[in-house]
Amino acid sequence: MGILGGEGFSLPVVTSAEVVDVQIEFTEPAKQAMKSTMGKDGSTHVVIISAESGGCSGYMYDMQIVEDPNDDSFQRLDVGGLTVLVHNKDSTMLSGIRVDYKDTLMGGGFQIDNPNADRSCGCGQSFG
Amino acid sequence: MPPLDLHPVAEVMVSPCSVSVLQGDTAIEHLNRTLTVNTSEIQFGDRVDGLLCNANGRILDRLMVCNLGEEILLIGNHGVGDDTRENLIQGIPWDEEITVMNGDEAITHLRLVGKAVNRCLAGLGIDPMEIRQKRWIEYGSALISHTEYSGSAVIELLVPSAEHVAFTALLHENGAISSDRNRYESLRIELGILDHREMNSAFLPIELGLGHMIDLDKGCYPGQEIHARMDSRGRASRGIVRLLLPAGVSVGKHKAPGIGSVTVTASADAQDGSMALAVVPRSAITPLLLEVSELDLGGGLVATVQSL
Repeated sequence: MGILGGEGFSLPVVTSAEVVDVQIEFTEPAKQAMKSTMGKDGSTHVVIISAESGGCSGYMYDMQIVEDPNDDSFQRLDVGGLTVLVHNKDSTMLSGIRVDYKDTLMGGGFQIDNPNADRSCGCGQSFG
Repeated sequence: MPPLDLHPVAEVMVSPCSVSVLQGDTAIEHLNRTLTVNTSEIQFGDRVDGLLCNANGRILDRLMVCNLGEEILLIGNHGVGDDTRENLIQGIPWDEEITVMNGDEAITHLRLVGKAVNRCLAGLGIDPMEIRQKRWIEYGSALISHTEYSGSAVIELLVPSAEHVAFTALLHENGAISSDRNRYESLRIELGILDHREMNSAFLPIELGLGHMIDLDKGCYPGQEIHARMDSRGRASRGIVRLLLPAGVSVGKHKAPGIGSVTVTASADAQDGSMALAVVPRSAITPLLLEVSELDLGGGLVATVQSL
């Protein structure tokens, strides 16, 4: 469809403007849980904490263990010898969060308390 | 409702809008995480109309979505394009390559309304039967679709802004006339075409009769909790209506004695006074079952209430 002028059309690309230096607080149980989860991969892999669209409140947290992408778009945090990455585009949403870990059968796992969030949804998985 | 005062052939009006373009393999998926409707099955040339809402369920933008294949075109409300694009960018996962572009200057949204719009379209060599509500068809570099408002066909035309004048001239050659903002406002109220003055964060979709733009089966989206609660608990506490008045009425909040707050979102001169779109307490709408109801706006101004 040629409404945009066909191949090679040019429109201004919008980029997220604001980037802040990320600071994240990890509780001792959270650090221990990350260490135990990463095991021997701690020297080659990193934990990426991110936010993406979804959930009832607008954004959902995500934590992934991946091979170090060595990408300048991420900010690197040293957490007890482990590397945690936060993408610049998520910096305003995630700076100031507190990551805890609850070792319970019901509702256990990593818990994120976000002072930037106006609200969270009932299940606690998303924020806005 | 009095007979609609439509042009014998067609009137063409510019509908102010914002335009955004998404590009990327997962653009449709990203949109599906964000909008109130399911976009995951949208095919090339399909049209889906949905809402972008905040966590409180209130409307941030209305988006007409068009799948152009490599790109997804989003026609949104006037004046909120930057906020919508920011919203879309913020939520892109770090491992997905999605580009958001600003097309505000690139595309003009025209609306064609009248008693014989088909004649006008046929004059352009377009088979009116091909124009459907949930599809965009191509005409040169323009896109054409159809929306039904209050039983009248409104033709939605998306035209490259550089071709807008020439395209409008083509419509004139085939019997259409151009109408100004005031006339557009009158038609908007008569036909119940909502825009940014109604579809904004002051209102919930269900209050504006936009339940068809909400899919409670698609899973989570911003505002879904609120929409689901309203759905399970019954109707909204207020709703949108058309008011017919013997004199002019100002846009804004009015106090209706014994009823409550009435928010007039748009008003225009009419033959015997004025007409307006207003969001009124549900108690003012229920008597509509009796065909005609009246609403005292105070100061001797009594409006006839009509459903949209």
